[in-house]
Amino acid sequence: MFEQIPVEVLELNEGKWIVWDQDNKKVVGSGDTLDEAEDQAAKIKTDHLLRVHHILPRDNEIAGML
Amino acid sequence: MLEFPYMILPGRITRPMIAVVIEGPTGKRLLDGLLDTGSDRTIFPQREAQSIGIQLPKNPDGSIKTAGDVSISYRLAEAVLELRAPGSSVRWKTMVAFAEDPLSIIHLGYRGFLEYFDCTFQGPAQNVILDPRPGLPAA
Repeated sequence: MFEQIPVEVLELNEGKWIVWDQDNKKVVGSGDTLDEAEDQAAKIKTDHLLRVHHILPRDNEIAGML
Repeated sequence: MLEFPYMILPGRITRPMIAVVIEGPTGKRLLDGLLDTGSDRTIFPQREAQSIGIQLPKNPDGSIKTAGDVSISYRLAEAVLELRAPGSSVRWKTMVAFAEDPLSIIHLGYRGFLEYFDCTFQGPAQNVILDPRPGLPAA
């Protein structure tokens, strides 16, 4: 199963993109853009499934698709 | 039956966001998407199609309007989606929309996703239950 990324991790990286190693449960890349985060993650060779998440800042509430 | 906790985000915001695998001919990606009953389609960023080898049509199939009244073009393509929850997983093949920027969040909307499940949003428990229906086009 895919457990949720802990809120502490999301708070630490608020506003950024992160690449999360779902098996090792740790951030393997982070940055202001997806490319930055993935470039960092690409340096770590792994066959684990990596999860990508854009952590919207807390003042960026969403209102759905209208 | 698949059960997922809501995602707890900075600022004590909780959203029914779950991890979904999207798979194409050359790879797969694990991404977080919002279970969005207000979205007519399931929408991923266009760049994700490229990364898993999905060829998109040259011309857009339509456009979506965001809450901020921004119009975004999308292209439709077939992909395999997969969910994994404790004790069970489900995979299905469906048409999803790949939208151009700006798309700040992945929307797991009606067509391609919610149409295949009975969904129970348990607000107080911050939990969502997805029950796949027989019409789900299993992959």
